[in-house]
Amino acid sequence: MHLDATDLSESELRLQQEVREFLAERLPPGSYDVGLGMTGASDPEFSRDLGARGWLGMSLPPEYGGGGRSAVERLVVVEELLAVGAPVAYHWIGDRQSGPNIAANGTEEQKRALLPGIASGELSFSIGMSEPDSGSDLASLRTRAERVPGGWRVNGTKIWTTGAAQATHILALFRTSDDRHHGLTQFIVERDLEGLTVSPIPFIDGTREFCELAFEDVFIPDEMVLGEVGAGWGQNTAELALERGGVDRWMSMMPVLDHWARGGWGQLGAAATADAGEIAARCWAFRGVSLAIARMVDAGKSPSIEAALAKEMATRFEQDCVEIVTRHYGRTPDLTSDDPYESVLARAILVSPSWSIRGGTVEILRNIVSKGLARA
Amino acid sequence: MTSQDVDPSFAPLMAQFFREQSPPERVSAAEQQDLDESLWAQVTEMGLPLIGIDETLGGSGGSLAELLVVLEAAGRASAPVPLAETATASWALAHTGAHVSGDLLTVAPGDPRDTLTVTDGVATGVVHGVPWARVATHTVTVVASGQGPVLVAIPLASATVRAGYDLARQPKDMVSIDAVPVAVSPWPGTPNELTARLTLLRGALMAGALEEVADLTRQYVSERVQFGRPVGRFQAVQEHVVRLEQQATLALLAVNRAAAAAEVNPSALEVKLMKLATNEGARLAVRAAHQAHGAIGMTQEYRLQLLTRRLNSWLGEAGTSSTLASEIGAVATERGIAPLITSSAGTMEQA
Ligand SMILES: Cc1cc2nc3c(=O)[nH]c(=O)nc-3n(C[C@H](O)[C@H](O)[C@H](O)COP(=O)(O)OP(=O)(O)OC[C@H]3O[C@@H](n4cnc5c(N)ncnc54)[C@H](O)[C@@H]3O)c2cc1C
Repeated sequence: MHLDATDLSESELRLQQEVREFLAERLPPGSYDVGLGMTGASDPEFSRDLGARGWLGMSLPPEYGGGGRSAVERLVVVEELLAVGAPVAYHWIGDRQSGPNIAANGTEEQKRALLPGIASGELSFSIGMSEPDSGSDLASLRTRAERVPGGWRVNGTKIWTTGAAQATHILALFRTSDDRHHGLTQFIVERDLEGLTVSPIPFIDGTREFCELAFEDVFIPDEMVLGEVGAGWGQNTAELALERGGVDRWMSMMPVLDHWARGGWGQLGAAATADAGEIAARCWAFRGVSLAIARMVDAGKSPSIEAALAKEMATRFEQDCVEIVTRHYGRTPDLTSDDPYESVLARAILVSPSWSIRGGTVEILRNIVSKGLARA
Repeated sequence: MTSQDVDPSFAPLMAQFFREQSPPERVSAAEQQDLDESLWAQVTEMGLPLIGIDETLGGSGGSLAELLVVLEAAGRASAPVPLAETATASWALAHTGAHVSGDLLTVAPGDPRDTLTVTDGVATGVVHGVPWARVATHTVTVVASGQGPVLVAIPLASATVRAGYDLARQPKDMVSIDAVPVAVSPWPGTPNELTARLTLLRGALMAGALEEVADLTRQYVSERVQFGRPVGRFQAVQEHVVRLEQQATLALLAVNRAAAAAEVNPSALEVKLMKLATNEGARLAVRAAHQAHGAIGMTQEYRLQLLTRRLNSWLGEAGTSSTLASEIGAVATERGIAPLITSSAGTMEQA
């Protein structure tokens, strides 16, 4: 595998500067809950502000409200957001993957109906893939969409659907025939459909983003099928490539790392300084990988093996960061502390095991990478 | 005395008691209150916190090894009670010759930010990270004085207690006192014997939790089916199962060895070696167990988090890895590593 060394262009650097200036003004320290990467707080108003600046749906076509810009430009914006732990949860999934998926596979009507709302930050998407009996083995999923006049009737259960309680839409994968892979189809599901019950599942840190979705004879009209019937597996796999290769897979801890390294909890001793140096070098390396992958996307390639390779090591690295900082912190941090960085470190300790599970476990990613390398 | 000297029927009895009386629902419910009073009443009625203290001083009798068996069982069941704290503080009082009463007591584990000073029996200052302070009658600590180390018992009714929590949402409070008269008694030993005792008991809780995490995970992966077979059949998952078994085994062995060393010398280096090794084991185990479980392990409805949140809390108190590593490192660089590990139990002093 070869990744090309690349750097930001003049105009990309200007964008970076613009985003920094905006964030310094829009999110002064203390004005928001510092978040851990993509699971930062959900703040629809902040999402709309980003949309108004053209920083959501950046790669979507301009005729549908998108920015017509590149994956690298999106990376430039996103890494600034994650560096400060900005409240990105409301728009995250739509901006990262549902929008591009709809742009690639949607009908004219779907694009016109949904992409402008994704780019403006009005719409919030969740991913409805996993089921109680289908996690790593996603293709075994059983939630069924049966043909009925004018559309489909859906029955079954989705689980671990992050953000579904506040989402406007769920991009879901349903079984439309018995063929293991070709019997799967993607649907755009409006969150408030009759027969769809969304129940939060309390997460380890007490938050309620995880949801279970019960579909009981939910009617979904034909117009909401995304792409071809039976083509859901392939579309879903392409979406996962977008989901896996980005800076969000190694930047969750960045605000805490920065606070710690700059002596926010007191000046670092010799051992901590050396660890900060080590972490900085590894971050630099991962940044190069994410940037190279984004350039490949812009060149029209589909770097899914590269993305899986990156995510497998990046999520483990993020967990190492939590352990290293906690060790230097010198005591068990308190989730209820008045110091926002202490409480976010406590949260990181609790939630970080999920980083190497969500979006495909490290074990599954190793299978994917090994198979991909064998084919190459 | 070692675990071999404990009546073989005692461990199963304790395991059963905590399994029955501290089921996951009850542990979770305790997070919404300061203390599960009725569970604590059961524990004290059985005299568990006073095991290892002479009956002539009001204790339950029995050995340190027996007390550690109780804590291991409590750790397995995530029992939401101040057992290690009350046992340590009561032992400390008895160590000075005082009678113990079975009150809920706690120990100030020692924090770099602490400012406590005691002059002529009057104490002033702040003590951080005191487990269960809000429900305890006293917290004890050893401080230096002109006449050598003394044990100080701070009456918490005269203190301002600011509520805080550990990661398992158990009380971990900040205690401030301003010119409060305190009971002071000469401490017959080195100052760090008190923390050593707490560390040992904490280690036993961790060992129990590690064993339970290992068992729970092994059970789960034998039942969870993906790709048409139990996930425990995948070698990648077996790696997690084996790692968990390794760490649980190492932890219990380390606790029993450290206890044996502590019987010889209460401030033996082995206590610190045990805690550092067990902290490392807990870190590895939390990662492995969650990874093997997938998403379900991240939910409050499933029991794993009761154990892993405690392990994550305990590895950051009563001996944190960075401090322990420096202290042990100081001994290792002076004496060499081979002499350190081959010396007989209890002969290596703490740094
Ligand atoms: C924080 C978080 C957010 C999530 N958000 C969403 C969401 O928004 N939408 C959604 O649809 N899903 C979501 N998920 C679900 C996620 O996709 C699954 O958790 C993941 O795919 C793993 O499935 P599982 O949890 O059922 O674990 P299992 O598949 O049961 O895996 C258990 C263990 O077995 C291992 N294993 C399984 N198969 C193999 C194999 N063939 N070889 C080696 N090891 C194997 C796994 O790696 C793991 O260690 C989320 C999960 C988390 C933790």
